[in-house]
Amino acid sequence: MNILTLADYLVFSAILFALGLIGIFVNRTNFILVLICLELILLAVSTNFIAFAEFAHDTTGQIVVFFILAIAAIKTAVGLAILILLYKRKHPLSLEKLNFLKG
Amino acid sequence: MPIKLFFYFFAGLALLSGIGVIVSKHLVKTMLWLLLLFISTAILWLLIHAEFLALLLGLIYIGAVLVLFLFVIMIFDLTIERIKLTWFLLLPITCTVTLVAILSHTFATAIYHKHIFTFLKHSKHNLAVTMGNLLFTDYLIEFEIIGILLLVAIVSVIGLSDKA
Repeated sequence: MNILTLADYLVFSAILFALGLIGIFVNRTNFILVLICLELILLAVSTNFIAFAEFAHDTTGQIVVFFILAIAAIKTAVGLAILILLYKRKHPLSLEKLNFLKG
Repeated sequence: MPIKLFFYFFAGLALLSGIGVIVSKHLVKTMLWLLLLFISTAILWLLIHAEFLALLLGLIYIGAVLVLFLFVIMIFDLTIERIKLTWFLLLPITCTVTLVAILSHTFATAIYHKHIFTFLKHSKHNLAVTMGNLLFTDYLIEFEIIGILLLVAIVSVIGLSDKA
């Protein structure tokens, strides 16, 4: 009962993924919360990769997580830059009203 | 103290923080729950002998991404309305998460037979050395592509936020 198993990490990662997905469904008009729930999803996927990397004694999973972290930071930066631009040009910040391509 | 108790404590803390991120009413409280989530996930990664990545999580995710979120919230007074969480919304959420938990546990135990982590004792190098060796030999192309992607991101963010 004291032994850590792979199933523990997989279940934890699956629940975290589901919570992030539900966060996107619940807060679908809020721009920042969608970005945050995407971070949650990426964190769940990273935990999954690391669990399998330790289970199979292969460092590939950890390298993939390294790249996932970099890409998540990039996505956040670009998403927030777009948000700031929308705010400055006085567009409505609710996602259901942002249905135009020009601007 | 058995390691499984440690795992359950920090996994529970991480899941509660995930719920707090979704449910909290103020945007700064969401950020604080997110901070707790990142810290507890980093500790879970430490348990699995990924100490370099746990520290990198603290450095990149907490130190850069979270701080960026907080700056944007602070400087631009963003008050966006959130959906009010009622029981009508909470019940399908709980059912979905429970179903996901049961299904993933069944999947994990059926295919992997609840395999135990066999921690190799006294491995020669720590994770930073191993990853450094792999990043510059086997995964060099991906490493360079990430560098180019970061450059593209910096140029695009500056181009977006310049006085247009």
